[in-house]
This record gives sequence, structure tokens and C-alpha cells, in this order.
Amino acid sequence: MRVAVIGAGVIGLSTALCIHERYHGLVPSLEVEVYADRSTPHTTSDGAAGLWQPYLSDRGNLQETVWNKETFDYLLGHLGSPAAKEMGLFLISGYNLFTQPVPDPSWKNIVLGFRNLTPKELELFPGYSYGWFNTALMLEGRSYLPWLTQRLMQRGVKFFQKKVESFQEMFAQGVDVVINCTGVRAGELQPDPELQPGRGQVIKVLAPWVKHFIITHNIGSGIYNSPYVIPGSEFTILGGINQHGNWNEENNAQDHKTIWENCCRLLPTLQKAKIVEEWSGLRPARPRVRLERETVRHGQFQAEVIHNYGHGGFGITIHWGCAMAAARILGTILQEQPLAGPPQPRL
Amino acid sequence: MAAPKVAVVGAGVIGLSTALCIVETCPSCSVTVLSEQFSPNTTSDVAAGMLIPHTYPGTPIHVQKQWFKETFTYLFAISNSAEASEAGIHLVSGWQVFKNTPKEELPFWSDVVLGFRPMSEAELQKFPQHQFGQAFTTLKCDCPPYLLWLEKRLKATGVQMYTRKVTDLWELHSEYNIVVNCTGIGAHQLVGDKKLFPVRGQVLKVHAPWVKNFIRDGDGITYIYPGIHRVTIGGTREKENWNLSPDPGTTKDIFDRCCSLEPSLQGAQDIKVKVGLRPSRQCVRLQREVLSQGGVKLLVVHNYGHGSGGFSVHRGTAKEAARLVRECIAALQGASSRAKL
Repeated sequence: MRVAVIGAGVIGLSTALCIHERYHGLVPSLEVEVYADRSTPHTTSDGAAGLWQPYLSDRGNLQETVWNKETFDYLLGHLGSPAAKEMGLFLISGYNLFTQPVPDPSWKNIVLGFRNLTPKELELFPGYSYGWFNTALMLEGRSYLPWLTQRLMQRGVKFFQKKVESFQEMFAQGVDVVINCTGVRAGELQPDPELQPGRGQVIKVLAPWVKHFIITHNIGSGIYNSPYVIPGSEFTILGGINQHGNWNEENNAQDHKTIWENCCRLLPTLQKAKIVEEWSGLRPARPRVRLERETVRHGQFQAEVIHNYGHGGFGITIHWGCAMAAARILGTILQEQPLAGPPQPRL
Repeated sequence: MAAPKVAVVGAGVIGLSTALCIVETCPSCSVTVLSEQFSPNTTSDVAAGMLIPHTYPGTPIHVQKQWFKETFTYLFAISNSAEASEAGIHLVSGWQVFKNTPKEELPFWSDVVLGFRPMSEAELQKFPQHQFGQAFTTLKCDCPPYLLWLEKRLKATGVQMYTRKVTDLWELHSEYNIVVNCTGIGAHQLVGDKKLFPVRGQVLKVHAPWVKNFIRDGDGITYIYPGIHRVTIGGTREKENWNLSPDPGTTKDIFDRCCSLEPSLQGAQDIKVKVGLRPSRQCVRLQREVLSQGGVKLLVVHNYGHGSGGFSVHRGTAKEAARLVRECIAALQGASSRAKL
């Protein structure tokens, strides 16, 4: 039983690991492979700051709230383990700021210590009259992806650096199940008008005195189009760009100016921060995550694709819940196979 | 009289902040700082500089609260300005956890720090040995940056600073009109204050930049305080111990205790060990004294004995000391006008 995961961002690698952990012992013939043209540190997940925080509204996708919670609880459980540092996992507290009162988010009871901001705290942020404080988690892609890769390699999962052009290409090679974790470029394998890039740009600075994340919200301009500051273990990420439909991965000078000016206005201490790097990436934006099974025709045969893409700006936040859901779908597929030998039908 | 000449003895957080307050409130004064040690070799440099007050048994609570509030307000403004990183001042959030619920669940300073509240059950799960806790956000003064920033501001106003060991306050009587004694633990020998005693503290300053929250055991002995570049973990409270040399057994004990509160510290790198002697006293000695020999007077203002609460109240006590200096100046001017009659 050959399972090929396409994509080596946080979604692809974590799905591969979840599947291997769950079924390796149960299905002796299981072979898991990862195919990707880009891997760490060049994936979208590597550019993200890594803060666990869902969008403000669940957009009606209750399933996603469950996956977010499963991810948070899973990571929280790993906090005290020796692996945490290597994973790039740590607790972080911080602020969400608004210009008017808003309803509490779906994740208020998932994070730790969620509360409203006091008037004195709001004095720190002129222009904002309402906000939240909570403790959440950071999972830095630059550490987590290599950690996942190592765990997978230790388990004997094979990696192939190549651009997969079609699902058929995989099936023709003898792959039984493809797990499609191709993120923003999923449309190249199968057109999906609901999937659009949400272009982001960030400035990485040295500002080790900043210990809190600060995320501002402008209800009019949409999520992540308002300045944010997220301190990592080494660098602090400044951002606030989310351009729907923009495929350009080049850094833009006007966006740089917007980010820098807005973040320095938000946190004057940043004026003294040294700029280290600039990065642009494309959030795989979709009205809801596509996490479902698709049976495709492969000549005279049937083959399976499990789609797991479209996680927008909350991939890290939701990744483990999705990985487990994808693994459950694979479980269903495995159960449908005849008891003896490889699956349907091979001439 | 000519511009009063004021000597501030001591260049830790108390000496430097007091000198600055004097300069701010007595523009006519000429202020000089004399100290055996300057940053990075003062007791203040060993301390984490967290604004979490110590309670002095001998001082009314409302006075301590006033000192803390003045200090917090002063630093809060700096923390939010462009100078914050140079001054080493930053906000930090975290938890104070107790193995047993304390008698006093609301300390006197709970409404001065930000967002003070009891910890939730979910938060306490991270600390299986602790039953109760408080979450809040406070300020940290990183040293050396804070002391260097104070020195820079003093120099900008024309204050001179000299490395000099003063062995007897009287030796300053011919050069200065007023001496401000901010010698911390040095006052034990300098003025023979038997009520002042060291409480030895050993700390480790480690590289663990993923630690973003502070954790403090309510017993005040085990704590983890993330600074700009290093995390200060500690500690010890050894009364009457004058030993300034790091103890390796203590280092291991501190490391073990802190790792049990925060397991990720196992991965901490580049561990530096430091020792400081908290200048402890029932209450801060903030008072005037007149020294006289053979008809010659030297006016003294004492500002020492802050124990483990130096950073928390430094601005408040500095302002009080500056007020006492103004009283001294008035007394000198009174005496000098009488002398003219």
C-alpha cells in the first residue's frame, strides 16, 4: 500500500507523520512517501511567524474550530517534553486590539487565560479602544519542519524532491493513495476557483525586548491587513499585509513602507530594531479547508486522493487536527481493501 | 550661598536614580557621583530588575505602594517610547505560583501592575505541584542597559562620575555640602549600620530566548525572569552570608528547581553564574543626618537598605531622597543667611 503525500509544508509533513504513526504498525505493507518541489526553509510555512491563532470568526466551519482545538491541545501536551525546543514550540502571551467592542472568538476557551484588556493596558495602544489578552503557543516553521522531516526520515519515510504534474503521474507509478497537501498551488493539480492566494509580506527584525505578540484588527480591511508584531525565538516578525488574488512572491517596496510605518506607530520601541530580512508568501486562502476524499478514475481503475489544503493564514494553528482527520479518511480507505495483499485491482 | 555641592555615593540603581532626581528637582545643585563600583559590577547588575515589590515590615503599606506606583508609572512611560530598548525597559507577562494558597491572595500592588487576576485551572495545569497562582503583566529593568542609560542621562546634564572608594563619609566634608548615601550593602561598613544585613542571592543568566513569560514561585526563591538577551533564573535567600563567590552546588540546585518549573530550560545555553548581596533591612533608611566635627557640618541623606525591592521602589525612594536634599539645601541657606547677619 503506497501512500504519496504531495507537499512538504506543515500540512504535508504533519499528515505524513500522523499517518505513519497511526498505521505503520497495523499495515505492514504501508509505504509513505513525500513528494515536493519546495521544502524547508523555502515553504510558505517557513515564512509564517508560527503563532497559534485562528481567525476571529469561524466562518461557519465548526469542524475547523474542533481541528484548531485538537492542534492546540496536542501542542500543549508537548510543551513540557524535551522535544519542545527542537520543535520550535513555546508559550507566548499577547494582545489582540480593536477599535470597537467585538464578540469573543470561538477559541477563547482553547487558549490560556483569555480576558479583556483593562483601561490601563489600552493606554499602551492609542487608537485602540478594546482588546483581548491571552497566552497561546508559538510553533516556528523553521524549527518544526526540520523536526517533522527528521522524525519521518527516522521512520523510513522517503522524500523525493520533484514537482508532481498530476495525480495520474503518481498512480501510473503504482501509488495507491495520494494525499494532496499542495497548499496555494493545489489548483495546478486540479482547478479550484475557491482557492486564491492571500499574499503576505513580513519584515524580520531583531527586537529581543519585545516579549508579547500584538495583533491589531481593522474590521473593514480584513484579517492580517492590519499591523501585527510577533516575537519569535530569534527574530520578531512585523506584518500586516493580506492581498487576495495577488500571486506575486516578490517583496514590494510600498508594502514594506506600510508594514514598517504601521508597526512603528503601534510599538514605538521598534524604531530601534534592526531589519534582518524581508519575505513574501502566499497564504492558501479558501472559504473553508478542503479536507475530503476523492475517488479518481485511473484508466480502468479507481484510485484515491485525500485533499488537505486551503488553510489560509491558520495552517500551523489547525495542522494537527487536519492531519488526524486525513489519517481517519485513510483509515476508511484501508478498511475497504481486501484482506489479502495489495488493493484494487492491479493487472 | 554658591551652588550647593552634592555628592551621591553609590552607582547602583539607587545611587544613579537618586542623582537623576536631584538634578531634575534642584537645578541649582552641582551633583557628582562617587562609587567604588559602576555597572556592570554593582549589585543591581546581578538582579533581574523585575518590578514585583518586596514588603518591608517596617514601612507603612501605603508608603510602599506609593513608591511602587511612582516607579511603575515612570518606567511604563519609558517602556512605550523609542528609548525603551536603550533603557532596557520592557513589559513581561507571567505567573506567580504557590504550592499552598497564600493567606493574602491580593497583594498591595495588585492594582498597580497590569491585568492582575488569579490563574485559571487550565493555566495551573502547567504547574502540577502548585495549587494557586496569579497572572499579571509587569515591567523589567535590564541591567547593565538601565544603569548605562541613567549614566548617560546624568552625563548629559553635566554630572561627573568618579570611581572612588569612600571609607568614611566625613572625608567628603571639605569638597561637598551634602552627601547622599546610596551605598547599599556598603553602608554596613561605611556608616556601621548593624540593622543592615546581606541576603545572598545566586542567579544564573542563561541564553533561552524562547522563554517569553516569567514564572515565580510565591516563596520568592525560585524564579525565571526573561530579559532582553538572557533569562535570569534563581535563586537563593541566604541571610548573613557575605560570600560573593558562586557556589557550584547551588548552581545545580537552582537549575534543577527552575527546570522543574519550566522544563524547556534544559536546553538553555551559555550559563553565567552571578552573586549579589541584597542590602536588607526592616525598612529602607531614608532620612537626614547631620555630621559635625569641630564646628564643621556635613549634611547627609541616607537612601539605602532596599533589600530585594530596589528596582520596584527605586524611583519613589529617589524622589523622597531628592526632597530630603532640598530640605538640606534650605537648611544650609537658612544657616548661611543667619551667618550673614
